[in-house]
Amino acid sequence: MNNKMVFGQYVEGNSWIHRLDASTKIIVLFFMMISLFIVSNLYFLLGILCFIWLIVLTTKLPLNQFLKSFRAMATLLCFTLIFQILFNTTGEIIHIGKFTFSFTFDLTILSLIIGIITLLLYIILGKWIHKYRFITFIILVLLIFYLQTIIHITPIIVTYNISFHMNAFYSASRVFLRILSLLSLSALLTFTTKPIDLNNGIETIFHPLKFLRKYVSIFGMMMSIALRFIPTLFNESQKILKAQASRGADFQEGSIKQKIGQIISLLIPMFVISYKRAEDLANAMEARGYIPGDERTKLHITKFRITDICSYIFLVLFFTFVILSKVLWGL
Amino acid sequence: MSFIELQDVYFRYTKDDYALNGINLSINRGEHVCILGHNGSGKSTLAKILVGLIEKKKGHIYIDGIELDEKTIDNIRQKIGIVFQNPDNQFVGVTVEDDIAFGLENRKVSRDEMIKLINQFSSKVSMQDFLNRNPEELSGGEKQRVAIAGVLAMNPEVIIFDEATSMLDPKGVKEVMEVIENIKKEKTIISITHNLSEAKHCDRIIVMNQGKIVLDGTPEEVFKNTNVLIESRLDILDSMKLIDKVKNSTLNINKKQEVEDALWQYAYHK
Repeated sequence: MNNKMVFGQYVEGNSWIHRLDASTKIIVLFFMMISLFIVSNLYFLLGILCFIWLIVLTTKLPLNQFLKSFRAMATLLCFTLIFQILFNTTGEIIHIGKFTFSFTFDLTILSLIIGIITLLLYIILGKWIHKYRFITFIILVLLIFYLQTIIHITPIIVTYNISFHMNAFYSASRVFLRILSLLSLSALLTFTTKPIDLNNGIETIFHPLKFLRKYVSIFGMMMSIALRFIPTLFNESQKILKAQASRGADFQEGSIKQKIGQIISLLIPMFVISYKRAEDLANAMEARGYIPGDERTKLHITKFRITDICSYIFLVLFFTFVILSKVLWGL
Repeated sequence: MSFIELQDVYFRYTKDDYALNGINLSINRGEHVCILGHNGSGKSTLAKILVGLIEKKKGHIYIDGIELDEKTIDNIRQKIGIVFQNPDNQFVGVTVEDDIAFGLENRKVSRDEMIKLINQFSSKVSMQDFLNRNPEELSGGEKQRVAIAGVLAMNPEVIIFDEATSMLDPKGVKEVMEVIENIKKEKTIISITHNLSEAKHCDRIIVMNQGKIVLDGTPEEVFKNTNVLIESRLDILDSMKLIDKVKNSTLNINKKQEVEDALWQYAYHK
């Protein structure tokens, strides 16, 4: 069993961002994120992104790991971009010299049949092409579009055109920059802050709200216990997986129906164990005098440093600048 | 009245199956008492009732002269601490120091005082170098020692060990037993166990079976009643089995009595 299991994305480090108080980081990031949606000027957005990346560089985080965290969102990003470009048809059509980005396609019976056959071939042959599946798919799609532009044999089913407009380009870049900045900001937070510190930070932020305090302290306790038990339950699930595998359960192969059955054979013991643990834990906590929602003192207090104050000053200046630029110049 | 006094205490989980069936018990301050019983004899139920996790159905419980009920429970929890069986399930904090601090935070102890107490009691269980470790990086024995430190920091007068060593490896058991041996002089200790070799370290053994107390006395007195121990479904020590064999053997053993006495001495040897 791996003893030094780390959950979450936290990377050990000692940069000034690491040493900032978690509540400061959360507040600054929150307002930075808001300002990203206030700003609509493309160059301004680009400037903010560059600034965020500059900060990332100062933390000496492993950059490839940092970039890897975007991978999950890459597909979503691509889809938004494609939709923005295809469906935004305002503004002038993009042109480079004489060449305009506007295409007319004739969907004929012949090209339709060819298209369907290629698709079928792709599905059948797809089993053998593992590595370049996505690229093959793109090439095939482009090929079909190309066929549609050159085949003009009747009967034509429908004629349609696709054109790329300037506004589509602007809004797509805006969305791209915003999403990338958001991802960088949240990655910056999770890479430099331990989950438990994040939890403490959230508690600190909500502490002044008296009417919420009871719920915040209960919620904070829940979160810290959840964080505490994730590794324990993960180890437990590994044990059960091995135990079930030794009895013949196969979690890797089999049809979906079989897989569901095998996952149930993992989930049910996990549920039973978690409830038993929860009961024991509740007893232990009660015996040590925990009263939900009651006032408690804290071992970890927020350590306010000069960098925290500087961050807040920067935030105030930055946010006023964003608001002013919006109001005065409409950026 | 003695320090802990139970008068006719009854408890049942289901309708007619009494887990505690009329317990009368008094424990003096500073005693080290072992409650011995097999699974389901009611020994853990007794522990939970004493710390107020479950409520008795009938009878009276007095701790330090205060009757245990809903109103006094917070007061009584300051006098009594408990260490449970599973080292993982009672580790509340994310790190060792957080876990020791948990009870203190509940008690609203100030931060400076807390740090002082954490340092004091973590070194008492020799865990002072592990303060920033996660529970995942600790062995069962270490986690259990942290749990003891957490209880000790709250300065209770009685500590209950509810099968605190039963899930540990031999090394862990040894470590925890050493800690218990260490704190024995200052606190009243109630150890709950099904293990005779553990129980012989106590000043007094109480044997429970089917929710009743069947034997009560020093280890010497209790171990002599081998039959009662077997009836209570306890695993008697190997030396005690041997004594039985010697007693009933038809072999010609010279000085049977001397052999028996020597074996008894071995059985009580700590």
